[in-house]
Amino acid sequence: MFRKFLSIVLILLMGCIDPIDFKNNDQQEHMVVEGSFTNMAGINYVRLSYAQPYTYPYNKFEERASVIITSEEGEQFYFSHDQAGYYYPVDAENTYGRPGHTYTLQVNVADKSYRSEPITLREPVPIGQVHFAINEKTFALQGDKEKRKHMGYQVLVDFQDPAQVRNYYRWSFARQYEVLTQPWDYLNDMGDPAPKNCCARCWIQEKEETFTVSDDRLTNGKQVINREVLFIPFEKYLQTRYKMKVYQHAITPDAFEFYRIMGQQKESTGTVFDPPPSEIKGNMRSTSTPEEQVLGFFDVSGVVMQEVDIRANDIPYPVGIFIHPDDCRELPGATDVQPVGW
Amino acid sequence: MHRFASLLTLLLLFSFFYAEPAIGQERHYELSGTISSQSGEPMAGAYVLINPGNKTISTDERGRFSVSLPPGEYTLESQYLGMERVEQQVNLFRDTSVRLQMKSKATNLRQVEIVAKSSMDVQSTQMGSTYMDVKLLTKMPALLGEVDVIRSVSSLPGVVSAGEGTAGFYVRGGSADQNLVLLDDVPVFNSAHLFGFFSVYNPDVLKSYTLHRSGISARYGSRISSILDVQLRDGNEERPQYQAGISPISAKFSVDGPVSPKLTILAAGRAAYPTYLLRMFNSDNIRNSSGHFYDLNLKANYKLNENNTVSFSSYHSNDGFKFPFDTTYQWSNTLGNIKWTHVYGNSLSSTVTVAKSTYTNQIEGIATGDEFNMSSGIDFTQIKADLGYFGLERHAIDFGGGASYYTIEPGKLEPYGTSSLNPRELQIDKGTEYHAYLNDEVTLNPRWTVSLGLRHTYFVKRGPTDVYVFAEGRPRSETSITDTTHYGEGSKVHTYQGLEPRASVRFLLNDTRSLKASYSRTRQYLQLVTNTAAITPVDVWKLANTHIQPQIADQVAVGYFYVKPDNAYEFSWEVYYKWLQNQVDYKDGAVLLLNPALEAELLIGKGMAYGSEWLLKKNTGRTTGWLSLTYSRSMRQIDGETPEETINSGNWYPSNYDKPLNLNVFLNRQLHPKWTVSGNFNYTTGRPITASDSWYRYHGHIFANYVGRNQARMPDYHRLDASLNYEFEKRKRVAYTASFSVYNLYGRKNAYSTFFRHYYGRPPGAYKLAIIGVPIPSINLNARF
Repeated sequence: MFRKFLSIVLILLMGCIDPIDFKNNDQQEHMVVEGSFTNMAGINYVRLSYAQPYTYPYNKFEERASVIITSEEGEQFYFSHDQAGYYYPVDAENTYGRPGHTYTLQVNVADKSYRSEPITLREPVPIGQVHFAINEKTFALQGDKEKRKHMGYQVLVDFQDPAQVRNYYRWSFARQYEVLTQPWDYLNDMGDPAPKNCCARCWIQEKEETFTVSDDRLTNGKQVINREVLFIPFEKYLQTRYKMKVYQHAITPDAFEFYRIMGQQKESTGTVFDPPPSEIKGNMRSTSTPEEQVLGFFDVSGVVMQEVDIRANDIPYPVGIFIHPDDCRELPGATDVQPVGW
Repeated sequence: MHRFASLLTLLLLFSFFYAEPAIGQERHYELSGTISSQSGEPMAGAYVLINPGNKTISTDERGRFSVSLPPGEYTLESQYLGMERVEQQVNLFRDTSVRLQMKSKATNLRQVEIVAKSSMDVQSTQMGSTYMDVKLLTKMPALLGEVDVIRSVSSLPGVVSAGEGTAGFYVRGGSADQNLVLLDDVPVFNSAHLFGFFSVYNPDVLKSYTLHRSGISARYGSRISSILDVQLRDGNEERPQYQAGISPISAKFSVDGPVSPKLTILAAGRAAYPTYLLRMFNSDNIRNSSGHFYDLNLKANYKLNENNTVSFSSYHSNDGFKFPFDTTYQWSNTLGNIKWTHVYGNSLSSTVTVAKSTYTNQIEGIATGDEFNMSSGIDFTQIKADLGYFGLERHAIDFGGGASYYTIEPGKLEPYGTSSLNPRELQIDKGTEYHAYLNDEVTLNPRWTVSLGLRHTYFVKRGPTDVYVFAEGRPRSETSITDTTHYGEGSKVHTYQGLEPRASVRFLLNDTRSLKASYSRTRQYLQLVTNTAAITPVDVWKLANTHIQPQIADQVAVGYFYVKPDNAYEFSWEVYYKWLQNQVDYKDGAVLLLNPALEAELLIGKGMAYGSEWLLKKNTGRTTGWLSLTYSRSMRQIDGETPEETINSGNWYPSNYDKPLNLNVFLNRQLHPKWTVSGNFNYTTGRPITASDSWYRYHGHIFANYVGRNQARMPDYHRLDASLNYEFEKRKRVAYTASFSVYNLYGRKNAYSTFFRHYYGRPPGAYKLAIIGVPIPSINLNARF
């Protein structure tokens, strides 16, 4: 809220953000673990990468690790590398957890080994309904250099918070949508027109993990309404049709803290009203060298899913046109093969 | 209270050992008096030079002085900034009282030079304190059309600003809440207007300010770093006077004068209206936002008779800011006091003060599903008596005592409408602080003067409250509470008490040079719980309790002081060292708002600070100004029981207030009888920050990895301001002045903060945020009639 105030003061006083040169000689590589394990098959994964010094601008993934999730109740789930550091279950259909069981992630890389704290899978909390409201937000879409104002749908969730326990929530999404582009307007590297013949209509399937979390500190046992969990800008996403699975995760207090502080740092623009940035402690430890800093979190949660299907024609607002003068298959995750049942 | 009485007696006895026996000396008489302006306003801190003997004394806050002298003929000479020098002959053959009246030089608008009173005093035992008169303050360059006390304080040695757009300042390595900010003797709990671009002090009604940062007199207490004592003018006794001023975003008006021969009043009002500027923006969000503030001062002074004066001073302010469809903020200060000053004869005077200061803060959320009203605030009531006794030869004794009552509402959340929030109200935080003090300034011989003081404070944290018992060996958190003890309304929950010895000594090398040394211990039972650099409307004051111990500071300082006989130049050099106990820092990512187990988010440790301060000042001539230079460090050590409660493995680390090098230059030049130009330059080492050693990707977003705390620094801060002032020809009794000023003249983009992030299209890296990145011009016009 105060960030917004300051943004106004900033514009008033023409404040600005500029790069500075920071010399740090002892920059290091650190293992980063991103993992999610739930009671639902098909959405469980582990991703391994490395934190890099600022002088190295590329991603670096760990592709040769052995990854296994075990439980105190005797379950064992093996994961294998797919691509870009993602590890998926070897037996995807039968890899899921049970509420009340306690799971541990074990990662071995060459002679190094990492282990999470044991985490008990929480009982999921059902979603009441998912609904939408038109609003505007200022942010940079992927690929944009500047922040712009976007009209779009706020995704709002209603649910009944259970009264007897303290509950913590986060949300994740899997979506599928149609994009329309203008390959005939393509300009080559020299800036000359070089129209392409294909393709103007594609479908994109992607996952979206956010840092939006909620707890029931102020709403214990209440019917929670209009909890905003995502914003979908109309352009790009809502040209024709948009299908989305909304997952509501019941997470642990530690996971809540981790996601909350991550979200806080993602948003931080260093204003007077931002808490100073700090070290974020995850739940992964190195068992081979205990003093090694390991980043990231292994999240174990009880999840429920609700599917929504939005058609552009139903939106009471002109959605505008997505300008992208290129073959739509060039967009990340895009295909020109129409999905079954579209 | 008998504890205090016995203490006082003890102290009094103690101080007698320092008095040289008067036996065998000829009889002395009491020479006392008052110094006032033509309009009857008492001149506090005016100097009286008594010859023969070349004795200098300064007047107290009621313009009174008293000295014991052998019989004889004396010449009294007094000087004060902006006043004509006065002289008076006195034949002292019995106890004598005199009245000196000074004529204001300001009535002569064509004066060619400003004469600043020296900001320190070679003769007194006081050190580490800086005095600033409003007349000098108004020559300093303005921001958004107004000169400001807090900004001016930040240009003194040993003081750094908490950052642009905040009203906070750090004194000698302490945090912003360790400064007691007073308005006519009443504490102010949020001195910011419009988030710090203005402060609560209306320059039109200001008289002077004094910043005490070492050798603090036993009279003052309850904060450990400094006392900013800001005094407002009294109404003049001559004729009604009006002042008005206007700038593009604010306007002000004040009136003062006599109502009857015995009663004078002063009233002032000020308002800011930046909303119309917001309307000029394209964004709906900004256009539909609004902001305002106003404040009012009212003072009255009633002279019952020669020996009794009753005065009243009050202040009220209201600030508001609104975001469309989302949140409105409102905060308000209301404070005031009533003082009764009584003179019992030539050697004893007393002032009884009842003071009240309330600060309230309202936040209203209007977003659907999240409607709420949240209020928080602090209510402070104080009653105290301060007495001065001059009857003992070579002694100037101040003593007194009082009680302060604190009631803090940490936060009350009331949902309404479709809101899914639960109402929540944190327990009221109540406490009482009692104090008693005695200070004796003893002139041992013409060269040596010692000031010895002792202050005792006794603090009671009162119920109703729940005291949590945390599990041993685990980090404190809401989940590690094992037991709760409930205390009822008004019951004693916890008490703290302690002595605060103060001592300073002056050794006069000659009439113009002296060496001084001081020691002081200060205790603080109240702190601002804030995770940000600024004092913001969401921060909450918190009293010491079972888990939060009072902060304690011990400071030693030594200094060399020189004032040229004609007062043209002055120079001072001070070195200090401070030990701090029970300093607060925060856990990583602490939640402070509406948190009932707030103590679980705090980390307690120790601190130290040291530094050297130089000040060179020119007080007379067409060019006046000063140069101040500070080298200082401020460190903290937090070594808790668990790794989560330890910072940087328990090693010493630079505190957020550690800015080693600080240089300030202020120059004011009279170009022409009507034109003056002034400039102000500030250079400060960058603030410590927690830097990132690497970047990584998580959930598709780029993050910076931070290790430890405060191991890197922001880029250095420097800024030049300039202003041009013009005095118009006086017409029909109306005197106009105009000033044009530019803040940040060369447009330095000073980093308010630095952070590491990734912008699309650029590699991840370090960035700085500058709040004011361009020169900011402003103009204002003032009229006096």
